[in-house]
Amino acid sequence: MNEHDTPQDQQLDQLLESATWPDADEGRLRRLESRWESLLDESSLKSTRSGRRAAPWRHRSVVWLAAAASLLIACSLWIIAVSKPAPETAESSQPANKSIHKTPEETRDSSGHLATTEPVKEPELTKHDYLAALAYASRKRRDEQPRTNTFRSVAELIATKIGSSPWLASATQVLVHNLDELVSDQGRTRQISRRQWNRYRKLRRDWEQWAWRYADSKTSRHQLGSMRFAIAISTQTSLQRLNEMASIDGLSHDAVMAISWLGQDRHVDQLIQQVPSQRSKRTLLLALLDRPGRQPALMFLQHLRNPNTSVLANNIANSTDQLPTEIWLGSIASHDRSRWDSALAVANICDQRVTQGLIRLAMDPTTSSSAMMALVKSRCADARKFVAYAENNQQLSATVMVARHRLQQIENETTRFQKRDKVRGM
Amino acid sequence: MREGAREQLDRVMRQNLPNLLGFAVRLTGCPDQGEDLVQETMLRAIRNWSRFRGDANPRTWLFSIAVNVFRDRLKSRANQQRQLDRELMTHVDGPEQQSMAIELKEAISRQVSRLPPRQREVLVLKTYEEMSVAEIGKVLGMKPANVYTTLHHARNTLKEKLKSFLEVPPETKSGRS
Repeated sequence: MNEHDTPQDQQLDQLLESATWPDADEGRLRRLESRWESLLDESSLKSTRSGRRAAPWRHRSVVWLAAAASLLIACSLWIIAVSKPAPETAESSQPANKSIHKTPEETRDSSGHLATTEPVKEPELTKHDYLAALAYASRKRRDEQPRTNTFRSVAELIATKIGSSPWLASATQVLVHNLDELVSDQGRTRQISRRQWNRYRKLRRDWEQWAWRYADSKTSRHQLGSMRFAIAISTQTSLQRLNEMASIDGLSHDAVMAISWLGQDRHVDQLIQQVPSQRSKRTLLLALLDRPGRQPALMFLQHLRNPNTSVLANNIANSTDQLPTEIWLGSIASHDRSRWDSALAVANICDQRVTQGLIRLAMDPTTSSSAMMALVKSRCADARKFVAYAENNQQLSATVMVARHRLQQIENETTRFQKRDKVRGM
Repeated sequence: MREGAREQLDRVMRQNLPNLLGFAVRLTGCPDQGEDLVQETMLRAIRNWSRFRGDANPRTWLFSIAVNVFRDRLKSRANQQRQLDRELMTHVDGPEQQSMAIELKEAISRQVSRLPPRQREVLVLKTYEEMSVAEIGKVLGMKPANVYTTLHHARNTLKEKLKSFLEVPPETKSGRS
């Protein structure tokens, strides 16, 4: 540095140049890049929906305008209603209901969910819209690579039960038939899907009303069909209703499937605790494991230690080779307090990549303790072999000792809490 | 966001992301916190891109957002920061480390991460991001004279903390004086 020319300054510059920080690794950078992509996508979609963020004064003027317009419309409607005789109104509403095939039960049953007496138009949906929207939705929520299984499961879900609408049935048929073509033609799908997705978003609200109208009917075929249709629509309201349905016998697994496919990570995570059925829990845990990104991977990690889900989560983790190993190891190598929990969570997984990663971390002085603790607790052959070696190694034996001590501490604490809970429970 | 503006922001962010992450890790002293800081910076960059004036340097603009995020976090999470510092200290000085020689390089980075925030910002931008004093002034909203003063304080603090590593031969000392 030119400004500092004393020998001490030069030495300081040399020291500063040689400093190293905890490693900002490639994985971290990749994670940030993918996070950036999703943030940018979200911002584009938001701006498509609502335009630029309006200034506060503009918000206020819009609210005033809307209020004035509503008042005007209300007055006009009131004047029209007062001027017309009552029987005519009843007659005029009859054909409208017929046009959407509304059953007498539905008319009686019209609860707050639908909250409309207007006929809902059957949406104008082309097969192209449907395909592209599904392709885009699936890619956004899963991975950049559309997966055949995702398409097939959605297609099958809709195709097997819906059957209540000719246009939807044909769209579904096209979806199933074009599955392979769609997946193989990724480049083209990418180009067209953004435009189609925006159209799809505009139509969603209408579709949703239409779908839930059938869900309120008494026919189970229609109920199931519309719920599966709601999978494809996936608005916030739909997810909320599906969440409620997850506790209803006979409907629960369908709702769980819907949420596992398109629900947000936190929805999936919460539902794992709520659903009573092991089958549904398994579906949701698999969904967490299958999703890209750090958050679902860390959520799964917590389930590995949760008494209610640990057995199932460990079974799943030990029977698949698609584990988010790097994210888990990153959590163990971090300086957060949670690194100990993460280490304990992965300790029961006998996966070669996990064990090798733990060994790598255990050899690194900056991350050794938590990783060594996982290896000490592990029952896997490779881990035991390494711990035996480390105990006799001059450089690593202290780390093993510290890890054992820490493990003992944590287990004592856990036992103490369990005893306390038991006493309180009694 | 218009398509053109979106592409431009995308390019700026991708070009600067590795440097931004390195800067964030050096400021916070922890990769996890650095990653969080960059994520927050990304969000703010998207929100404020429409207000970015084309005449300014995008890199300076991004770094100034990162510094603001860092300062906000320091304010709102003062306790957590202290806790993290304590934890870092126990991590380094704990019994598991006693059997191993503490690396000089890590000792330096630790001392940098313990500098007062403003001194740390100036030093990291100058030494590791190789920004000019004028650029640092823009990023941190300081006058160049203040940048020099803060940098001087930062270096003096480090000299004091690292004096055991800074051995000056006596003849050089007398030669200077």
